[in-house]
Amino acid sequence: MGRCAVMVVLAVALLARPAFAVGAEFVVIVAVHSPVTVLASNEVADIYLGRLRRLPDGRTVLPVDRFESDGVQEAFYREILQRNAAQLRAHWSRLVFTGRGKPPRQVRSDAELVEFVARNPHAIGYVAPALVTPSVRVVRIDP
Amino acid sequence: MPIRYRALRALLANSSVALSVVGVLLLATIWWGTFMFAEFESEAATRATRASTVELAETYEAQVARTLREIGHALRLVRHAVAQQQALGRGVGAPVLPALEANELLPPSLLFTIARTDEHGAVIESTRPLPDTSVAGMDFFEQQRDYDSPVVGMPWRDPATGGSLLPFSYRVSAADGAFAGIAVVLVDPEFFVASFDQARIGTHGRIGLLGADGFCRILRQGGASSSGSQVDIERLARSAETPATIEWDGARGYLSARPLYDFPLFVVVGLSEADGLAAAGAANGSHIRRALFGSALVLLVLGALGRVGWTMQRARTRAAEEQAAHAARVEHLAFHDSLTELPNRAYFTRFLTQTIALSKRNGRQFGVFLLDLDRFKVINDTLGHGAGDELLREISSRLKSVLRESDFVARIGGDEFVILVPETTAERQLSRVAERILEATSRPVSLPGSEVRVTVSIGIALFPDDGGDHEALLKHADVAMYHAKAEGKNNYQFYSEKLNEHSLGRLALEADLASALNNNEFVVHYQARVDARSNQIVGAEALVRWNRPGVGLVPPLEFIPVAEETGQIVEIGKWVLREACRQCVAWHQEGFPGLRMSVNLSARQFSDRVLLDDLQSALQQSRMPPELLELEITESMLMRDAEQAKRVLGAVRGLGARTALDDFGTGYSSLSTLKHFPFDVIKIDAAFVRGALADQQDRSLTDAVIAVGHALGLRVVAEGVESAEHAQFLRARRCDELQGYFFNRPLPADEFAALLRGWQADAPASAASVQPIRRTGRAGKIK
Repeated sequence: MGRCAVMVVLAVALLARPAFAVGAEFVVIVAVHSPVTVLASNEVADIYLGRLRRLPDGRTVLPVDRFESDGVQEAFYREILQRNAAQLRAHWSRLVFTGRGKPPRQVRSDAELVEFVARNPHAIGYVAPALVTPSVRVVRIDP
Repeated sequence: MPIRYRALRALLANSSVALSVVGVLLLATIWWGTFMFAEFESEAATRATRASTVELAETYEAQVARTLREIGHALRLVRHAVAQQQALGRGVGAPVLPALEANELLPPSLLFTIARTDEHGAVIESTRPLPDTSVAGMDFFEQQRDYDSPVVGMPWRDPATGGSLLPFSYRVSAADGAFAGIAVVLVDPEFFVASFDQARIGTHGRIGLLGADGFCRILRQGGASSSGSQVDIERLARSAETPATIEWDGARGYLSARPLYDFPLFVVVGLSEADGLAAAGAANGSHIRRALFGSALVLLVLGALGRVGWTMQRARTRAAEEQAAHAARVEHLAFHDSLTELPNRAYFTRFLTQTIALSKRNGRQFGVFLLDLDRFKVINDTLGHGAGDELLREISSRLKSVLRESDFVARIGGDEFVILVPETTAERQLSRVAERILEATSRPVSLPGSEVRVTVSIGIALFPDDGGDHEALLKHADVAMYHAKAEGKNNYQFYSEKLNEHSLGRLALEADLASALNNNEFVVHYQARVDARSNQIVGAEALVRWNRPGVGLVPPLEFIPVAEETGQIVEIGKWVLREACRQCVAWHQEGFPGLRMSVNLSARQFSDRVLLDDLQSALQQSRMPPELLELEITESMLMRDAEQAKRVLGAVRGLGARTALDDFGTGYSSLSTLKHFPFDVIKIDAAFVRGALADQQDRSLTDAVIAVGHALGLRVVAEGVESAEHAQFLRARRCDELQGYFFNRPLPADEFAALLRGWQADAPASAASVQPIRRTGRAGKIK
């Protein structure tokens, strides 16, 4: 009984977390034909930090990032990667300098990003919810 | 104790110096070892630091070289694309980067920016906006104008971001070979040092890129990066393989610079010895802590050992002291009397022997006094041993008080003292000493409960006249002392030859008496007690006689007092009691049942604690009916300790035996005290009976005694009945029983048995026929 109550409270707290409410909102997208429907938040982070190159089902994954920094990118970095841009650069500096990885591909605009994702079944990206087109699908992110 | 333990103990006890030496050696070893080890560690750390420097330099060189190769590759691609564009007839300014980028032929755009300028420095295209639209006038651009080889510029500050960009450029040529601008890769110089935090290079370590021009492009030290500082490149060039030793802020370090090939750069790696030593230092700290701990342990163990040794030493010293004290005590005990603290016989003998030897050499004379307390045994018996001891102490202190310092007093026996009066010649002088002693000892002595007066008898022997050795002297002093006793005690006697003869007789008597009991030389004689009315023999009194070998029967008066003095009387009395009981039971069985037996108790027996036990065992062994046994004690015995007497008499009656008061009338007790004591019988002394016929007063007294006896319900027995007149008189006074020579003198058992048988046949006639042989007083009895 008590344990149930605690779990309920925890669930409410997690659901109530303002994860996507602070700053600009974003959604993680994949090509509409991609079998990926749901990813854990830390899986997304690992993909963007170069730690995860294949999904659990064995498919390679190709993260795409934006050149220009804006509110959406900041939000994505903060919420999912839990780093700021400088920290992310330092992270990739170390990996690249020691030859252990390659940073996500960068594109110049949201439209380009959506298009790239739509065309590439391995790609994964993030955009403001409003920019989602029928050719991409929003992936549910589990906390 | 096994030898090795003893050896160990000796070592421990005697080796405080050895322990100290061992301790110092151990400590020295520990610390020498520790410092040697620290030195070794330190050297190892230095070597390790240098090795690390080289190793890190090599690693860093490889990583930087790879990055530079990629950068070079990208630049060459750009240059090639431009050349292709020109080949296709397009201008130098036609963009090439988007195609390259789309084909992922350029370094990651997250970290690298690729740009191209025209020959004037204006930026034609770039993968990312640059801080400025022109690089004209900037070092790398200007250099590139003149040189075809790759250039690395100084970091380009980007005011917009606050960061900086390090330009790597290639010259781009037009188709005719003219300078057509540059292709440049810009990267944050931090990119080259981001992987090296303090954990890898230490607080003082450095790592970075140095231009061939001697200016640092990026140098990270600790947590901070810098650029622009100038370095003596010639010197560093020699440090590729062997790190150079460098002073950094007073701390020594090792620096290694290695040239790179794609661009005019060196990698520079420096590690500080301080950082390298920090680990060693930490190790040293632990070594020193261990050494400290070891030292403490050594000190502790040695301290403990030292303490054990010290304790043992002290215990040994104490044991030795105790042993010495014990030896002194034993010596004192061996040569002193514990009661009076006077020298004892052993000491005296030694001293006397020495004095004799000395006096012989010097021709000197001296006197030996032998003192014996008169009546001491009586006091001891009646007042108890405690009082006796007290008395002896008092006497010994009085003796000391009247003697000179030079006189030697010793206690050599129970109540025997001996005094050696040295350097004395005149008898008169010795007499004065003896008189002083007599005077001092005869004063009353207060003892718990009573005051007693003792006297001493002193025998004096002179050296050399009365003996030349200690045995003769003592023996002769003893003879003189006995003479003094014989002279009525409380006096002194000088030894003379004549005395000796007399005393020898007495000594011989004592010696013979001592063995008489064992040799079965005592016999019991019996005198009948006759009932005054029926004229029947109703009992017998047991009287001891000594059949001394070579002498014959010794009169009791001659040996009983001696036995009293020596204490043998107790054993003799016990024997008489048993013998009398045995004989009486034998007669009972021979046909004289109901015959009573009367036995005398001596004073010593009476005060002896085991009397009752003896009595009981005598009755049990003989199966004598207790009511037929009668124990006689004298008046004087009652008076010594009335309470004790009452108790003993009561106990005797408690066993079933009867009690008789012997010699009644001669003592000091009043008739009235009789009633306080549990008696069954009184025996009127023979003196009264003898005088009764002639002396009116004796007759009256006899009358009175018989009357009182009857009044108290006692049976009255008259002793010393020597004639028919006596018997007549006593019968008339209603005396109950008669005893005396008129009936029979004391007879050996067999003769007495014959008397019994004859008496039974014809009692009155026999009584008349047995006439006294002697008319001299009463028979000796044990008193």
